[in-house]
Amino acid sequence: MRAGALALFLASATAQAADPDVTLKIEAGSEVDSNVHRAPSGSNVQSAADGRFGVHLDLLGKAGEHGRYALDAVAAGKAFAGRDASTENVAVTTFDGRYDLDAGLLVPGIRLAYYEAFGDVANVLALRTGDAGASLALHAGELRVAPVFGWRFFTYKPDRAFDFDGPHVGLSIGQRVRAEDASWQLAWAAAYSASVRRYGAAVLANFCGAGAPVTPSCLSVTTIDRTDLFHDVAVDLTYTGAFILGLRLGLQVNESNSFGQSLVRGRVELSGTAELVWDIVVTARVILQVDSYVDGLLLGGDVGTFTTIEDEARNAVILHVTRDLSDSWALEARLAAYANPFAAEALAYRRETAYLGLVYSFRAPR
Amino acid sequence: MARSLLGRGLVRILALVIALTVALAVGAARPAGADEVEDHAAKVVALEQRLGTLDGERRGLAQAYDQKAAAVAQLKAQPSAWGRDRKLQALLADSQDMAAALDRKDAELRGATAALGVEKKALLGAIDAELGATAAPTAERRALLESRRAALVAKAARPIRIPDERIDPADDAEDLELKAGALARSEDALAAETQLLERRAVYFRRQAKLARSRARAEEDVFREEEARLPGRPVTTGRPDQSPSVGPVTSSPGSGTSFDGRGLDLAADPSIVLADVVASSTLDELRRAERSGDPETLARSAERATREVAERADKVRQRRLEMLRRAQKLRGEIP
Repeated sequence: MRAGALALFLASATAQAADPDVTLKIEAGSEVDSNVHRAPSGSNVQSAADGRFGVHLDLLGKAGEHGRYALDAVAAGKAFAGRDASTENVAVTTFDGRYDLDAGLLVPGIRLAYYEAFGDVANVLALRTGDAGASLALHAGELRVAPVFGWRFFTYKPDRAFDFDGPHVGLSIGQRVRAEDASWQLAWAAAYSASVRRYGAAVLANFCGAGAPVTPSCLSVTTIDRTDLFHDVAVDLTYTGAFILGLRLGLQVNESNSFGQSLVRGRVELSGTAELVWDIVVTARVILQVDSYVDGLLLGGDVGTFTTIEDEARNAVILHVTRDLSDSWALEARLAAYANPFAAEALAYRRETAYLGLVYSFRAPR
Repeated sequence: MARSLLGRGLVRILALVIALTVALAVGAARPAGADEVEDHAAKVVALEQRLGTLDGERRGLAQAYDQKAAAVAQLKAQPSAWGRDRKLQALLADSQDMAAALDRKDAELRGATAALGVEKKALLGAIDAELGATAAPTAERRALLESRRAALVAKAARPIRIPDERIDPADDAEDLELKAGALARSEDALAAETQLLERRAVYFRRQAKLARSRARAEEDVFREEEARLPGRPVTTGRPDQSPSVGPVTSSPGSGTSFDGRGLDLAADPSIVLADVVASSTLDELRRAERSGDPETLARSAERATREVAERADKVRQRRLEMLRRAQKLRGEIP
């Protein structure tokens, strides 16, 4: 109901606005995946090729004298060749809309986001999530401080025990420093958010003796509902000049009242973008991620808790290459390698992907 | 019980967030930019005063030196004698000391001038920051800042002035040739500015291409880079960064080196082109400078390039017309 009213308000604001920037992107391509089911090394590792198609629509504009809005909608899908990989076929639709009112020092804003992935009943990507939030940004020169609050729901289609909803609050601070002639700029941002996640599933309790090995036999499902408190801290630093360099640090802590669900995750991401020969632009990203399960990790997965192998200390090296072919057409390729060198040997995991595609862009300027 | 504990935890966090925001709001209530502008303005005034003092001292020294030099010349004109030579030697020694003092004063002046230049640049940056702040200054303050800015940049970047383009019926051949010569110089200035704007456009267009390609690399519509474990974070923890880079447009495949050093750092195109392009183009140039968005900067430079090239073409046509008329008046052509 509230989301509907917000959508109506956003649509109305958009309708009243004149001449927005409209960008339409249509993309298609194919990816080869060496481990389509993300299986541990030595088990059911299957490779497959998929075909992908997507449409992105972006609108940016002003509504009234002080209002600014941005709408972003995506519809995309991927389908794998061969029956073995068909359970990984998925279609996605997303919507993200925001409206900010530039009232001088303070900039209040609202945001509505929705994401849904459709797929096989066993497809772990099949989920639905939505977020309605409000912010009150404070601008002081190039410094921006924005407290945010909102409410989010998450529906996990293969197993409804993992559905949750709840409120969230956060604070983000960002600043940009730039050269007098704007030839380079340095932007930093830091954000903290905390969210309560109320699950429909019951809490798993640990009755194993102190120091005794934790086994499914001494774990029990209780009548208490599971509730997590999730903290997320992130710091981002980006230099933009003749090349772009980025550093992103993240720390996520999940405090759960259910045994085995508390988690501390550290993440470091380094990235660089530069133009090479023949107008080819390359972005290289290195992601290091380390997870630590506060209660230890159960691999049995038969007592209401489970994990997937790729969630474990996953690290990645990703190369993304683009080349504009004309005003509207661009060619892009992506090579990615995922592994978990810091995890236990039992969880050894590797995955490589190679993607090649075309992007068509149409832009109707203001 | 657990839910109650978590709820209390969230309330505490919410209170902390509110407290932090209030503290920051109180800190920001007085615009930091205003203080910075006044600080730099005071330093500029102090340096200008120092420069004035140094200049006065130098003029005094130069005057005294000239008097000594005149006295030396007068003595040299007299016939050689013991008394005259003694006086001449003393005067020459004084003169040498004064020349050395003048050199020292010149060095001081150069140092002070350089310091003033640096401080003026900083003042300009502070003014732009305050003008560009989302917390917009009052109309009165804005007018003051803009007049200060105009006074500052008027000295740093000279606007291109297009001389008299009219062909007056009373103009004789010589008048027309003089006017055509002045227009030719404007054409050169416009051509140089067009090249500069083209370089700016190429630089920012390529910067925009990098930003666009990077944004594309970070798109993950199928959430393949995120954890698949339900109930665990479905986020990459990216802080909200705005403004984002604008939408996709093409990039010219020019061979110009992608190097910021190729840009003229001193010349603000909105000042140089004040008398050349439309006021809406000037507004766009100023807005682009403030936004820092490469796409917007490139677009504004491209628009200005087109207008300057058109203006240069009109000036050229008018110059040729003047020369033709001058030839006609001289009877060189029918």
